[in-house]
Amino acid sequence: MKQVKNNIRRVCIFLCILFVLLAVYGGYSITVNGNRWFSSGANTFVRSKKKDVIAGNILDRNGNFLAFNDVQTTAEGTKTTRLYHQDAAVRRAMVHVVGDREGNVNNGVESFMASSLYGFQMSLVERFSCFMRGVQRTGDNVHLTLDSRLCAMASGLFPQGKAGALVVMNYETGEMLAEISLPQYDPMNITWQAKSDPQKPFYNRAVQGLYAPGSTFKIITAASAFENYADAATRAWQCTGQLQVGDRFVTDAGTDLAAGKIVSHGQLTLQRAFQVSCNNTFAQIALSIGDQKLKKTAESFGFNDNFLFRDVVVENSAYPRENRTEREVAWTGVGQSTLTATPLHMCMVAAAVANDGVMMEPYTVMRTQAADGRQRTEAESRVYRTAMKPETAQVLKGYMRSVVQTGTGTAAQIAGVKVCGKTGSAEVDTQENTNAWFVGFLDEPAHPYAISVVVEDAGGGGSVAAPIARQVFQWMLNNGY
Amino acid sequence: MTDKKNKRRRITPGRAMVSTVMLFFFLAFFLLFLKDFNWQSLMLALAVPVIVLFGSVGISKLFPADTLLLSLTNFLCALGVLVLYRLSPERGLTQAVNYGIGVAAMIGCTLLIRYMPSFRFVNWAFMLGSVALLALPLVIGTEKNGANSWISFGGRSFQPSEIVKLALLISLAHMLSKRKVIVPMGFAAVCVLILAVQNDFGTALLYFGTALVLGYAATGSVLLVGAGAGGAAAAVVLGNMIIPQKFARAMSRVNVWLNPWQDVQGAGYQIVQGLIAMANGGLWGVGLGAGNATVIPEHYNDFIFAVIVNEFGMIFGLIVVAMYALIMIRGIMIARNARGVFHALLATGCAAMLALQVFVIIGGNIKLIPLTGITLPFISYGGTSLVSSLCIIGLMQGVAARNAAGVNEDRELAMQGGGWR
Amino acid sequence: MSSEAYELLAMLMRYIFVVLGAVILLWVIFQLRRDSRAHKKEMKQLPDAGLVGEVVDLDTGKSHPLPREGLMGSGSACDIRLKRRGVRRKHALFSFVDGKGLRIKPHLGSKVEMEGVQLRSSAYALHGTQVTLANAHIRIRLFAGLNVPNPAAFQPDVNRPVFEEEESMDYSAMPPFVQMPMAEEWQEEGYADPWQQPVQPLQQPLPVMPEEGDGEDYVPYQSPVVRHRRSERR
Repeated sequence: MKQVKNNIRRVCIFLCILFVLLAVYGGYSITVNGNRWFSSGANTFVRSKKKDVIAGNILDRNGNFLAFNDVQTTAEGTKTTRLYHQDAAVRRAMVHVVGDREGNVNNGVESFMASSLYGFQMSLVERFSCFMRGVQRTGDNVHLTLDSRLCAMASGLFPQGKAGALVVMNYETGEMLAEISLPQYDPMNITWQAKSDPQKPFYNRAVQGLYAPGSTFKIITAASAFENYADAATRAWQCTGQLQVGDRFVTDAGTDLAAGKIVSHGQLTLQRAFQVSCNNTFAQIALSIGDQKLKKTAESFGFNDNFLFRDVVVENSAYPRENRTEREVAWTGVGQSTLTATPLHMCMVAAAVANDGVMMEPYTVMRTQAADGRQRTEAESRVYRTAMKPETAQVLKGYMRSVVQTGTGTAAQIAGVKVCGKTGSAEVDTQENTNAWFVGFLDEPAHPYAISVVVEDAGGGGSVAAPIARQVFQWMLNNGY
Repeated sequence: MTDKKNKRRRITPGRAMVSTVMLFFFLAFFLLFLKDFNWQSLMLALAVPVIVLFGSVGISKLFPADTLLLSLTNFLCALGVLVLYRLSPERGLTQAVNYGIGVAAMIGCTLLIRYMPSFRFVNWAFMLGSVALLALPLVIGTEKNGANSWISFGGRSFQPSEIVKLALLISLAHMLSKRKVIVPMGFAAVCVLILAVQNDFGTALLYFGTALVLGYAATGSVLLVGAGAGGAAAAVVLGNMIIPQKFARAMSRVNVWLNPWQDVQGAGYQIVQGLIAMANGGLWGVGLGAGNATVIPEHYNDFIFAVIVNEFGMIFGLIVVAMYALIMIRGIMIARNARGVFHALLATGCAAMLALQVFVIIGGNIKLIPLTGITLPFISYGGTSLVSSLCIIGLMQGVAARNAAGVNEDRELAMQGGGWR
Repeated sequence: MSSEAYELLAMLMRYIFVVLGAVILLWVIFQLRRDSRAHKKEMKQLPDAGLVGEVVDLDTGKSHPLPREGLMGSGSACDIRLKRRGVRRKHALFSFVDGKGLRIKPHLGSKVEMEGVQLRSSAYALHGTQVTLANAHIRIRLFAGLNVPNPAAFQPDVNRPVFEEEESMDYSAMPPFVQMPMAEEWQEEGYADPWQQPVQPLQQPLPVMPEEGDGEDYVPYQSPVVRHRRSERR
């Protein structure tokens, strides 16, 4: 009896735990994922309520209207049309962030901020006063942190016909100044070509494009070397041009084994290897650190994490977890293998180096305002996570500076400004050319901006992506950022 | 005289609760009346509080009952009627009729436990009958929502597994109280197997969990629980290897659970719409009668919790969960006050079965565990389910009545002066 | 009612519903606490609630309350805890059966003796029955008012003859047995002389243990051990 009663008490505790689990998970998921579910395209409730409300406007950081309504009062009643920025170039540049009437872009502001735009955030009193006055309700205005001119200018820098993405963020606060994806389309004139384009223009590559990060991942490999080896900065590495792993070789860019042409760097330090982006050295580092430790560092940078940012929906970056051969580990250290990351995430990695190892959470919505001009919400910057020690960040900052000064990224140099960066040329099996990468930042307290550029199927990062970054930074410096 | 009067007028929390419940349902149905000025709603606004009063306080005058348990159950049943009525008036009224049948069955169960001296002679009949009834749908069953566990006659269909629940609880408690382990666990395993063959994984999970909990309560052996869980895992793995087509359905459910957003318009439609309905509700809900939860398939059955969250909000949803938790805690309290092992185990089994059922279905709704098609006790639409849930409460009530009788006996003995033979 | 107006009303009412729900929950919790307090109070007033008697540990003199069903043994989960050498963690199971007594069943072949007889399956103990679990000696005491067979006939302490010195006694040295007459005042009161009364036979014959054939004259008293019916066995 006593035994049975004791067991019953344990059973009770177990069942109580189940209930607590239900309550905690229920409350957690509705608060954390609620807005993501709400803004889903499958939500018929929002669709059914849209006709009752005049949607709010979407503005950029300078107050330019990116999306607004044209209300025409006719004899039959009012007719509301959703319009986008009058300049086609701006319209096209912002389309992936803003979204369109049809909801072709996943998680554009038009759909993701539906609860603000369609007045679901209005209090009961406000709704009641609208009802008593007999006026149609108007949703909240959404002010973005993005600069539409910057986006439009940057879209023009990409080589003709190439797909790609570009992200600029303030690494001290996390606010995003530019987020563009190419190819683009016109939200005022959606053609069937856009819908059937094999390059998929509806796809927001800045947050949905999962690319191999290529040599830009060497920032993380180097960080891992610093975390695991005290003498990482002074240790000498030997580059023979071809590192045998199993029955295959890790080679450097420019090497053609069949033609007997081998590029080798000889004996070099980590800084030099970083500067010239020596695959051989970084493969050796990855192998000597080991998969587990490298994975730990990558995860501290946000790989394999489920990104749940406030208003930016980002695909999760993946550090491969299973079936790891030595060859794959070696290639992972170089940023190839099955590693994937989004341009936004790599921008955050560069931003973490610039911001003494602290990664800020990116955001695009600066504030929301009620139709009568009252402030509803104001974004504040939040820390996403601490990626590495400040000392490591300091050293890496120096390395990235030297890449731009004398290494692979010299095309990003701007006179009188400390530009830091890392280039990358990620190989993709299905493409003729490599994806050109450049991630970097301005090491200037007055201009705390980080950038990430990807140009698909374009060639080397130093020759294609770095000049784009330079021009974007130059434009920003000229325009008072 | 005056003393008696005072006593009658005294406000106890239980009575205050019943009046709050009455107010709640009056307001709720009155609100629905204001929506379309349907006189039926107004009548219900007056009738439901009276039924709640009768169901909570009136019944306890007929036989010694645990009023608190009754009041909680009544609140949840009436909430079910309210939500179903709001979604579709016919279903709400049918549910109200089922509730009446359920209360009668509940009283029957209470009396059975209160006055049945022993289940020794009916135990084997219960076991054989259960297995036969469970296996019946394999012969003459009809399929519904992919589960082949329904029997239909006369245009109405019911699930034998809902009735077998009761026999399972009594048989397991009886045999485990006699310190037998192999036979009851084998019996439970056979039941679970039959249900799994019928593709009714939710109920199978429920039976399995209840049997393990009861087995643990009776023996206190972690080994037994481990063996049970291990055996089930081995059965799943083996079954998956031998007859993979049988498990394809279960596996697809797991995949949908892992990422329902992959196929929003197809396999994941139901759960995605459920999640969206809950997100629309948010913390406070969209208001009774203002939501559009009818877009969810099976909104009146599996996804009734999503409907409640949609219209009343997550806070209210958590209050409902807490009510189930309190029913469970009350059941455990009854079990711990029980005089005999059988009664203790029976009350524990009832509490555990209700709690697990709530966990499995609400967990499925909020995507904590893979969705399986079982009902939310007392609230979901469905005659058999409501009746069997009320019968489980009846079993608990029976044990509570036994406890009360035992205390009375003790009191009499104490009045006689206790003493030794 | 227009849909906008209804929506506003419903949105207003949702707060009321949540508040009412919370209030209901609070009332339930109050009532639960109140009930459990009342139950505790009642149990304090009825210290014997749920018990059928007590078990006296003859080795230590301590007594344990005896519930209706439970376990005897040395484990902490036992209702009757006997920490003695040879007593297993779960030694014996017991349950009170109305009309029969306290049924004791050894757990998995443990050594249990009832009035000196080793139990193979289960047996019913009555008030005063002595039970030995390995090295622990206990006596069962049952409350008055329970429906059990009358144990008066079997009271082992009363009926058991005591014969420590008996064999060494010199009977010839004893004075002859003299029948004393009854006191006169008693005779006047009209009492019958007990020595003249015929000897009444015992209402129930003492059960006799199957003979072991060890040659002793004395057959020790055996309590009415009711053998388990075959149909009831596992």
